[in-house]
Amino acid sequence: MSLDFALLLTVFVPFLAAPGILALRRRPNPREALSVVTAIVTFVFSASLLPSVFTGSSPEVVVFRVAPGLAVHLRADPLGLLFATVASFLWILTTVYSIGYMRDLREHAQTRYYAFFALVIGATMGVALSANLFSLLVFYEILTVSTYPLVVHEESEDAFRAGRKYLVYTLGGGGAILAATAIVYGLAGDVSFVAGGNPALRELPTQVAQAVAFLLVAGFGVKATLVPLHGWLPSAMIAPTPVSGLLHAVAVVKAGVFGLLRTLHFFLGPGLVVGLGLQPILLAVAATTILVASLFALVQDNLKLRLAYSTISQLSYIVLGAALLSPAALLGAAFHIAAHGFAKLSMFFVAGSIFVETGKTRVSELDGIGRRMPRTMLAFTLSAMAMASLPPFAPFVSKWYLSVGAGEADQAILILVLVTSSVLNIAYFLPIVVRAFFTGEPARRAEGRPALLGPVLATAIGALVLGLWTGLPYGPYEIARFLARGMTP
Amino acid sequence: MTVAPFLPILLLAGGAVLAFTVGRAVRRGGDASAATAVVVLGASFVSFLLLGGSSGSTPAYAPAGEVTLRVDGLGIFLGLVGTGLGLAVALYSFAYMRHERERPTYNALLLLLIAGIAGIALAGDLFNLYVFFELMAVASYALVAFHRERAEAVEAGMKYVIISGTGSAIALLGIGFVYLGAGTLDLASLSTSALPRDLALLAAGLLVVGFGVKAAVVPMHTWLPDAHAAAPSGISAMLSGIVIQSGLLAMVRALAIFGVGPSSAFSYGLLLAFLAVLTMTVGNLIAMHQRDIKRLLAYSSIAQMGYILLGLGIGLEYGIAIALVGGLFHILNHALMKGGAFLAAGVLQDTYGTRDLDKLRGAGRRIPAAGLTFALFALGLAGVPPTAGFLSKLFIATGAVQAGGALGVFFVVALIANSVLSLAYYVPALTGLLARNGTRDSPRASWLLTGPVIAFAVLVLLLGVWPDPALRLIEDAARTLLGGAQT
Amino acid sequence: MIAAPPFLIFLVGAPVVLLARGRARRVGLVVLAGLALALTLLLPEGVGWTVRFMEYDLVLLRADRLSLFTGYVFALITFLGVLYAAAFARPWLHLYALLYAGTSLGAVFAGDVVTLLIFWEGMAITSTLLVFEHGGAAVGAGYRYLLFHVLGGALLAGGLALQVVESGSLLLGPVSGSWPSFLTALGAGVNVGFIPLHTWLPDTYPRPHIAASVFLSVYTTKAGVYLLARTSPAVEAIALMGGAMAVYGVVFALAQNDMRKLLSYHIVSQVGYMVAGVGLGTVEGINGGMAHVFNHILYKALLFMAVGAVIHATGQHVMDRLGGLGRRMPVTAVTFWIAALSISGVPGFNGYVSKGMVIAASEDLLPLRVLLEIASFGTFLSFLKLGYFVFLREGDTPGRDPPWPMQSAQVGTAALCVAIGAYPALLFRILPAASAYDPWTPTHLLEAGLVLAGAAATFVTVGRVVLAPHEPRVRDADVAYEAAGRALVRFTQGLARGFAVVYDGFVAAVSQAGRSARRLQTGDLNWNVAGVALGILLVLLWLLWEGAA
Repeated sequence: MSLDFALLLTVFVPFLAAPGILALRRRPNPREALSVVTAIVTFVFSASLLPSVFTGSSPEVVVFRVAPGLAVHLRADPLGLLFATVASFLWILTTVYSIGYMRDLREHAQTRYYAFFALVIGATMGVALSANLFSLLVFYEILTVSTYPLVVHEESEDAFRAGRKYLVYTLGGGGAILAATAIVYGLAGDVSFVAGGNPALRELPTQVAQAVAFLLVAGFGVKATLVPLHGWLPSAMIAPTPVSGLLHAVAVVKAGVFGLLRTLHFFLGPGLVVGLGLQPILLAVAATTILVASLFALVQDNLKLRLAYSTISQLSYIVLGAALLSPAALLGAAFHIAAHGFAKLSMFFVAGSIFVETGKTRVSELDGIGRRMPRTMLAFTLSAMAMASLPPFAPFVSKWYLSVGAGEADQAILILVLVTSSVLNIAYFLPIVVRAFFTGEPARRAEGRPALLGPVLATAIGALVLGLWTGLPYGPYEIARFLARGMTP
Repeated sequence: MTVAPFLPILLLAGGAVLAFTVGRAVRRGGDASAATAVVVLGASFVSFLLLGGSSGSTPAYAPAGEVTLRVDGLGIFLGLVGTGLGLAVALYSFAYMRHERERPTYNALLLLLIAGIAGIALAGDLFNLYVFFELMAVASYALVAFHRERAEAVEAGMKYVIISGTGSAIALLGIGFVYLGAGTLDLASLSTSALPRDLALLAAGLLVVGFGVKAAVVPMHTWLPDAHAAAPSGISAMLSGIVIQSGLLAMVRALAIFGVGPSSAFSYGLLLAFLAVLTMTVGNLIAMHQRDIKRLLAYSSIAQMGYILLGLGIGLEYGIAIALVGGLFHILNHALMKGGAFLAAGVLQDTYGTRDLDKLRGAGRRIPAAGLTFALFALGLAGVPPTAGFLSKLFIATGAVQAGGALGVFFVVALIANSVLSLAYYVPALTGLLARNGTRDSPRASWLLTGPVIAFAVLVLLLGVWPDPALRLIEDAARTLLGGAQT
Repeated sequence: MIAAPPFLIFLVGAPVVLLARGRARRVGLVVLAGLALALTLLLPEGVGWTVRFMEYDLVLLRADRLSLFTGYVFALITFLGVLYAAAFARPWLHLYALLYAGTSLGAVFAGDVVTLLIFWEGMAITSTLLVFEHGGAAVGAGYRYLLFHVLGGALLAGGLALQVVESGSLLLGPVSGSWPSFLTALGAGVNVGFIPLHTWLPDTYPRPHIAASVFLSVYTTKAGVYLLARTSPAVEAIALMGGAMAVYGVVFALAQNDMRKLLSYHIVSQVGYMVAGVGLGTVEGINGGMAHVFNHILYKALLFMAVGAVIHATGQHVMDRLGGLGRRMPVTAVTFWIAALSISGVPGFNGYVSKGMVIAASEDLLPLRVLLEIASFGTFLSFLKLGYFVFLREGDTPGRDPPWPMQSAQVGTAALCVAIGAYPALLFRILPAASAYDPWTPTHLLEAGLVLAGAAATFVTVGRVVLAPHEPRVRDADVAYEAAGRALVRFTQGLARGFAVVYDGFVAAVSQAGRSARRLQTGDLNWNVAGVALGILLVLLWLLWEGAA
C-alpha cells in the first residue's frame, strides 16, 4: 500500500467509521468493537508513515482543490506525525476507557457519543496532517462542530450554556483564522506551510502582516487556551470525563497549540515573528497564562476544573517553547505534546474513575480515596509528579529542553516562570495525593473495572516510559529531535 | 437564435396562464396546477441550460421588436438559480399548500414571479429590466399577502407594496435620468457612451436606493421581516432565496453602465461596500433575540445580503474577479441554505402549527429531516466548513482584502466578525430545536416536503467540497460583469 | 576491584532485602549498608558508566577527591544509621531511607548535570516519602518540604541548563555567567538552608520517626554543600550568607523546647559554617567547609541518635518534661556529651578541627569571622542547656538505654568523633586538597578556649535561669510564607471574578446591542418610508463627496 494512501486513510478512516457506528446503534458490542478497531487502525496507519519522514520524504495527497492555492492537502511531516500518532494512540486508550465509563454510568445516547468521537479524531488527524492553512482551517472547524454534541452530551441547561460558550469562543477563533487565511490568500495567493516560514508572506506590507499574525495568534489562541481567551475550557468540563480527557487534554486544545506551532514555525517563520515584534508579546502571553492558570488551579475544589486549569497552564509551556524560536525550545515544546498528553489524560481518567465508583467530584470529598482505589491513586500520584516535571517522567525532558532553549534565546528570566510553575503544580496536586492516602478511614478496596483501570495505569506508565526511554525508535523524542534539527537557529 | 432567448420567459409566462386555467378547469385542480408548475419550471430550467451552453461568455443580443434580450453568463446564472429554486419550491408547495384553496392562483403567481426573474436575467436594456423587475415585484406582493384571511399577511403585503412601490418609483426616476443623459436605455450602447458626471452621479444614487429597497440594503430594509415571515414558507424561500438577490443583480446590471473596475467613472462600488458593512452589521444585530423562526431567518437574510453586496461592491470597484465570484457563489449558496432553512421551518410549522422557537423546542429532533438539515443550513450560513457557505465567504473575504491596505483588512474583519456575530442567534435556535423535550412522538412529514430540503442539504455539502461545476458557471458570470464595459 | 556506582547497591539491593522478614531482614540491611561502605571506600578515582539519555552521554560515576570524600562519609553514616534503624521493624522506613541514601550517593558521584538533576529530584522525592512514612503531623510538614525542594530542584535545573548552553558541555563543574550562577546557587541554597529558604528544615526534621530524623539530618543539606563546592560560584555573598545562617540558627536554637527542633536549627547553623567555607572559594575555605561536612555528619547524626534514644525511652520530645537521665541512660549520655563537645568545637574532638579550619579561612573577611565566632559561643551555650536539662539536672523521668543496635551505632559514631579529634591526620589524608592547617597551634587553642569558657561561664551564671526550657515565643519566617499564601489565594479569587466579569460583560454588551437594534424595527410604515428617505440622504451625501473629489 502506498504511503500516500496510508496518509489518506489515516484521516478518513475515522470519518468513514462514523456512519458505521450509527448503523450499529442497536448492537452495543459490535459498535464498541468498531470504535476500538477504528482507533487501532488509525494509529497503525499514522505510525506507518513515521519511517519515511525520517528519511526526508514526505507522503502527501491532495484531497480536493477548491481554487488554485486553496486545497485540502495532506502531508506527513515530523511535527504533524508527532501530533497524529500521539493523538491516535491515546484515542485507543480513551475508547477502551469510554466503554467502561459509559456502561458503568448507563449513559444515554452512547451511539451519538461514539460516532462523534470518531469524527473528532478524523478532524484531529486532518488538522495534524494538513499541508496548508486552508486545509487546517477546514478540519479545525469540523473539529469544533463535531465536539459540540460531546460537550453538551448531558443536555442539561448548564450543558447547553457551556456549549454555547464553547461555540462562541471556538467559532470566533475560527473566524479570526479565516480572516487571516483570506487576507494572505487574497494578497499573496499562497497559504501553504513551509519549514522556516512561507516566503510569500514576506511580500506583505508590515501592517497587514501584523494584522495577520495577530489574527492567527488570537484565532488559534482560543483553542490553545491562552489567557484571556481560555474561558471556554473550564465550562466545557461539564462534558463526560473521557470527552474532557481526550478532547480537552489531547485533541482540541492541542490542536490550538499545534496551530500556533505551525503558525510560528511553518507559516510566519521565526524571521518574520521577530521582525514583526511579535516575540515579546507571545512570550509574555505564554508566561502569563502559565502562571495565572496555575493560580486558578490552586483555588479550585472541583477536581476536573483543577485539571482543566492545569492543562491551560501546561499547554502554554508548548507556546512558550514555540515562541522562543530556538531549536532546543522547539524540541521541548513538541515533546511536551506527548509528555503532557499521557500524564494529563491519566489524571482525567482517574477523575472519571472516582466519579464512576463514588460519585464524587470535589477534592474536599476525596479523603481516604487512596485506600479504596490504591492503584488508581498511585497512577494519579505518578502523573502529579510528572506535571511537576520531576524525573523520571517525560515532562522532565520537556522542561529541560525548554530551559536550554530559554538560554539559547537569551531569555533566561523565563526560567523563573518554569520554576514557579513546577512549584505551583506540586502545590495543587500534592494535597490531593495527601488527602487520598493519609486521611480518611480505611476502606474496602474497590477499584474501577479493568476497562477503566487499564487505561489509567497505561497512560501513567506511558508518561514514565516516555521519560526514561527517550531512545524509543520513532518515538516522540526522536521525532521532536528530528524536527528541531531541521530548524536553523 | 432569436427565439431561443425568449424561450424561458415565454415558457414561464405561458405556463402561468396554463397553470391557472388548468387549475380552474380540472377537478383536483390544485394538484393539476401544481403539477403544471413543476413541469414548466423544469422545462425552463432546461432551457436556461441550453441557452447557457450555446452562449459562451460573450453576450448575445437578440432584438425582437422593441425588446432587446441579452444572453450572458450572469443572466444564465440568475436564470438557473431562479428556476432551480422555483422548481424545488413548486414540488414542496405540492404538499405544503395541499389544504389551501386557490392553489391555481398560487402556482400561476409563482410562475409569474419566476418569469419576472427570468426577464431580469435576460433583459438587454434598462426599460425591460424595469418592466420585468416590476412583474416580479407585483407577483410577490400578491404572494406575500396570499393568506389574506390572516391580518399579519395582509398588513405585511400592504407595507411591502408601499415600500417596494416607492423603491420602484425611485429606480424609475434614476432610469429616467440615464435616458436624459444618454438618450438610450440599451445596455450595450450605454456601456460605451459616457454620461455627464453630475447626471451620472444622481442617476447612480437613485438606482442604488431604488433597487436597494428591494435588495433590503440598510437603511431601506425594514419591510423585509414582515413580508418574509408572513408569506407561505415556499414563498419565503423564494423571497429570501432569489427575489431580493434579483433586485441586487438588477442594481448591479444597471450600475455596470458606469464602468467597472479601474475604468469606472466613480466609486459606486465602494459605496456599495460600505452599505454592505452597514447592512450586515445591522442585520445581525436585529436578528438576535428573535423567537419567531421565520422572522429570524428573514432578518438573517438582510445580513447575508450584506455579505453578497460586499463581494459585488469590491469586485466592481477594483475589478477583482474573486470577489465577484464569491458574491455570486454566495447568492447560489444562500438560495440553497436560506431557501432550505425556510422550507425546513415550513415543515416544522406545518407539523406543529407554530413558528415560535420556544414552542418548537425539541421539534428538530422529532423530525430529523427538518432539524438536522436546519442545523446544517445554519452552520452554512454562519460560514462553517465543509459547507458551501464557508467557501463563498472565504472568496468574498479574499477579494475584499485586495481593496488594499488597512481598508482591505477592515472589510475582511467586518465580514468575519459579522459571521461570528451571527452565531449569537443561529446557535440558540439550533440548540433549542435539537434539544430533548421529553415527548416521544415521531410525526411523519411527506417526502414532498422533506425531499427538497434534504436535496438542498446535500447540495450545500457537495458544493462545499466540490464547487467546480458551479464555479465554472459563476466565473463566466463574473467575467461578463467585469468585461461588461466592452461587448 | 569493582568500580560500580554505589547508588546501584541501594537502588537494587534495598527492595530485595526488604523481601526478607524479621531478623533476616535486619541482618540483611546492615550487610547491605556494609557492602556499600566497602565498595565506596574501595572506589578508584576515575570516570565511567556512561549511559545514553536524550541526546547526551550521561556519566553516572565520576570519582575524584571531592566526590570520593563526600561519598565516604555518606556511605559511612548510612551504615551507622542503618544499624541504628535496624532496631525498628518498619520496612517502608528502611526502604525510603536506603533509597534516599542511594540517590544522595548518585548525586555526589554524578559526572554530568542531567544525572545530578535526576538524583537531586530523587533525593527530594525519597526524603519526602521518608517524612510521610510517619503519618500524622509529619504529613503537612512533608507537603511544605516537597514544595521547597521542588523549588530548589527547579531553580537548579534552570541554572544548570543555562550553564550547559553557556559552556557547551554537560559536565558538572564550575558555573560561570550571572544567570547560571544565580540560579544554581539559589537552587543549592534551598537544600542548604539559605535564610529565609530554610524554614522547611526545622518544620520537618522534628516530626517523623526518630530513625528517619537521623537519615534526614545527613544527606540533603550536605549534598547541597557538595554542590556548592563543585560548582564553586565563589561569591562573597554566599560566604556571608553562611555567616548569617550560623548565627540565625543558633539564636533560634536557643529558644527551642523540642529537642529535635533545637538540633534542626543547629543544622542550619553548622551548615552555615560549611557554606561560609565553600563560599570563600579559597582552597582553605573549601577544605575547611568539606572537613566540616564530614565531621558534622558524624556528630549531628550522633546527636539525633542520642536524642532519639531519649525520645524512644521516655516518650517525651520536649526538654521541660525531662531531667536526670544521665544516670539512667549512661551510654546515651556519654555519646551525647561526646557529640555535644564535638559540635561546640572543644579541642580533642572532631568539630574543633574543622571549625578551626573554616574560621581560619575567614581571616580576610572580618564580618564573617565575627559572625562565626558568635555562633560558636551560642552553640556551646545551647548544648550546655540541652545536656543539662535532659541529663544533668535532678529529675525523675524514667528511662534506660536503647536496644543494642542503637547503642552500637551511637558508640561507633562517637568513637569516630574522638578519633578524628585526636588524630586529625586521618581526615586530612582524604580531604579534597592538601591542607596545611595545624589545629594545635596556641592561637587556635586560645581562640577556642576563650569562646568556650565564655559560654560556659554564661550558662553557669545566668543561663540556667534565662534559658530554662519553655514553649518558644519566637516565630520563624514561616509566618511570612503563610501570609503570602493566603494573599495569593485572595488575589487569585479576585482575578477569577475579574475574568468572569469581562466575559459576561462582553456577552451582555453584545446582547444589549441586539436589543437596542431591534428598536429599529417598529413595524410602522412611516418608519419604513423614513428608512428609505434616510437611504436617499446617505447616498446623496456620498455622491456629493464623490462629486467634489
